[in-house]
Amino acid sequence: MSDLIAALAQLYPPDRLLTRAASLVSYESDGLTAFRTRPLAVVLAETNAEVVETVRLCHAASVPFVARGSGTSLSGGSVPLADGIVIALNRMNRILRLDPVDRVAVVEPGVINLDISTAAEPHGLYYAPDPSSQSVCTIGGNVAFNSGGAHCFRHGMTANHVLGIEAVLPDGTVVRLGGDSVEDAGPDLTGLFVGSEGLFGVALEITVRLIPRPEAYRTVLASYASLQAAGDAVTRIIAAGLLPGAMEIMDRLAIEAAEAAVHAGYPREAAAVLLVELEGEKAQAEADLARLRAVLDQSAPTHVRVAQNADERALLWKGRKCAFSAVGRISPDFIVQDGVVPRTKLGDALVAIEQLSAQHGLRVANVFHAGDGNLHPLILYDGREHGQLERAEALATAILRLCIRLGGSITGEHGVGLEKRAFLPEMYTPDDMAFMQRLRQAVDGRAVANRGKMLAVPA
Amino acid sequence: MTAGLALSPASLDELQHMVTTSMPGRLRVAGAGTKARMTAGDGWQVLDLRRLSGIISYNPAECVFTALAGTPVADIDAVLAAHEQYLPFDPTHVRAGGTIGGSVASGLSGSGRYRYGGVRDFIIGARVVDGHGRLIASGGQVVKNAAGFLTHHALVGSAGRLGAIAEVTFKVFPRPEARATLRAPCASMADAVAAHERLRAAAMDLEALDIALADASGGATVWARLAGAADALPARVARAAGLLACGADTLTHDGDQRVWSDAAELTWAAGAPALVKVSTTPSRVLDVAAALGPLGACRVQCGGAVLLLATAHPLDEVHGLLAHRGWRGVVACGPAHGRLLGTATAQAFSARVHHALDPDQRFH
Repeated sequence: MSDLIAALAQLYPPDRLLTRAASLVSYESDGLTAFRTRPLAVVLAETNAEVVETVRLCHAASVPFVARGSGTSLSGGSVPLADGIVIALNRMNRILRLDPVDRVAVVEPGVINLDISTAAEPHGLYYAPDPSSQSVCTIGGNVAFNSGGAHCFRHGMTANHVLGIEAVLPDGTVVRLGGDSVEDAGPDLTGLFVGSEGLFGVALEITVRLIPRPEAYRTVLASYASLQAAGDAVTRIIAAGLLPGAMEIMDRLAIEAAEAAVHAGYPREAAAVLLVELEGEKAQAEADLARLRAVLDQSAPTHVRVAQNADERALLWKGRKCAFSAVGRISPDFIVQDGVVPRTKLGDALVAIEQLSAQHGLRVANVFHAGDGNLHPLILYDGREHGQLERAEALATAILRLCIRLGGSITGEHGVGLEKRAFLPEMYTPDDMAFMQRLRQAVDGRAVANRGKMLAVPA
Repeated sequence: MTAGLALSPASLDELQHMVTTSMPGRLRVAGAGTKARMTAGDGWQVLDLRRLSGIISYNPAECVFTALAGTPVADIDAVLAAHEQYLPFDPTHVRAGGTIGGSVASGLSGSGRYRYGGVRDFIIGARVVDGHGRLIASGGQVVKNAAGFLTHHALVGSAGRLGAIAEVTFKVFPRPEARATLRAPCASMADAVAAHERLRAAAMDLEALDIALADASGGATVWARLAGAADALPARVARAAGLLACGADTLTHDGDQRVWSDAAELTWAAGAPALVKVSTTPSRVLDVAAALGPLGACRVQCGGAVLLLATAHPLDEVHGLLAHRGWRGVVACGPAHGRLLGTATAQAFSARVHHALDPDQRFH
């Protein structure tokens, strides 16, 4: 192992090879602070060649590595491996090419998600996947975990917006998957690489699709006396043939927290608010708005408000986007879950979560992407009180099992990582799991790439 | 297809058994034969999945269906249409009896992929029988899912070489209330690309944007489809026609239906031994068309992202031409179905994926 450090010292100047305990601390965990591991070393890579050589050296020494961007993973996906190497990619943050005609951007993995849209804005374009952490999370992490956001039913996930990847495989081989066309030739290996949680290697250069900003948005906030009524409204909207860009629901606790934090103007007396956003050509958006209002009128809302301008729209979204951090203000600690249920089972899921919350004696705030059935229950607890963390974890587990039982998924967008590794075999059959191990084994025979994430370490 | 020589499983169990007992290197998976157009012979065996047919689940409120791979797309279209829903990417070879598994295996999307994406963007799960005869699932029944490897993505465009796709799950969208199509004949391919760029540059939500190249005259026709609320459509169509500025006429109802049904059937390519799909981009498509035009009939799809070439020329010649320019393509229809043409840069990864799914190379 000291040989590996010596080899890395040949590759990196001292200020970019961190080995002292004090400088490793900030790399010990990620957005999910329950997991902490001290790595052997951290390298601050600046070029593709450095990353490739680092991977090659790790492979030769059979030392595990994890690539890391901003460390915002909520599944423990970028937690270091004990005695492993962290390849920090934040310095590889250049947008290499932005082509407004072909509508693609070629970026390094350390580019921040939102920076792509900012760079594309003068051309009337944007990058669609918008995880809540988009102002800090990096595209490399988005690729590894197939990040989502609020617009997945209509626009898809990261896998649908990445057209090409230059990657270094876990043994140091460099490949180019896909290209700069929205239509690839041959198997969709780019799509397979996305969501592999770092197990297939490190993306060095990512080609993403940019899409035109809609000519118009129409954003509507409807309040309800019950969560069930808000969920039913979503079903009615789909049944009416509307295809909103986003449909988000927040419950009373989340509304309270968001209001306290940013004064988005959500009605505090509501049991639930539903945020619906239409997008498209102006004439189409207006026609859709008229239809949406008719549908909402039938759904027994207590209040309906249409954003009158861009500022009002931004404020309505601000309440939603800050919900996680806002909940942090009303509770010392919380666990955020990421389960998915079929959209029509949202009502069942919410009732069950309410019961589980009562059973475990912990409050749960609900914020979810209703358009795609992605729940984000925020389980509130106080880690200083004996036994609360354990109860919160038990409640989180019960919610995951509920999602599986209802035909959904244990994760919509955060990934499996360390946190949900034990639950993946409850969602897939032993044959499915064995195949995932075979695929990992075929790609990375030494299991050096992000060992222990998503899949258990093979014996 | 020569009757009697094909294996024709009627259940997933039978399919698994047939794969397990097959001779290595012998199996070629087939649906209705609309794209691969294979016949049994030469020592290999067709694995005909047409009896594995039927929609297993469809809940219109979820906008998700699961079907066995051999289900004809026409059957799926009919069921979706009854609930005012559709697969927005215009699956191909529908009238000819093409299957949903064939759509996935060929990776071939139709003109409608322009608006919301193609097969890769609507598939959300699959089950495939691998070279060991094991049934392997990935993805699921929900549109948002980050659990496990996205193996179903690798099946899109896999041409049956990674395994036998047994079952697929797709998301679907509400069908727009009304549609209309603009047809704009242009004097040259360059004029057509320029007209089509004017549409792209405007914030117009087109469902489809194609250029059909005429055979000999050098002319080309831009086809643009709009869809949405009926009362908003006339104004949108007028705006698009103004941008096209080459004397566009408008087709609605039956006229509109026929144009896109024919496009999905690839009637313009009928009789050609091979259909090659070339990955391109709007800024490259004029060069690609100029280079490939001499080899056969061409159609540009998806706002310039795809060029389809119907050719009788040797595929080695097409390959050489693409490779020389650093371009990529694949044989989308024809007996060489799935053959990659031009520059290849992914072999080190694809070989490993192939090894995981079919280490004994039972599938051709």
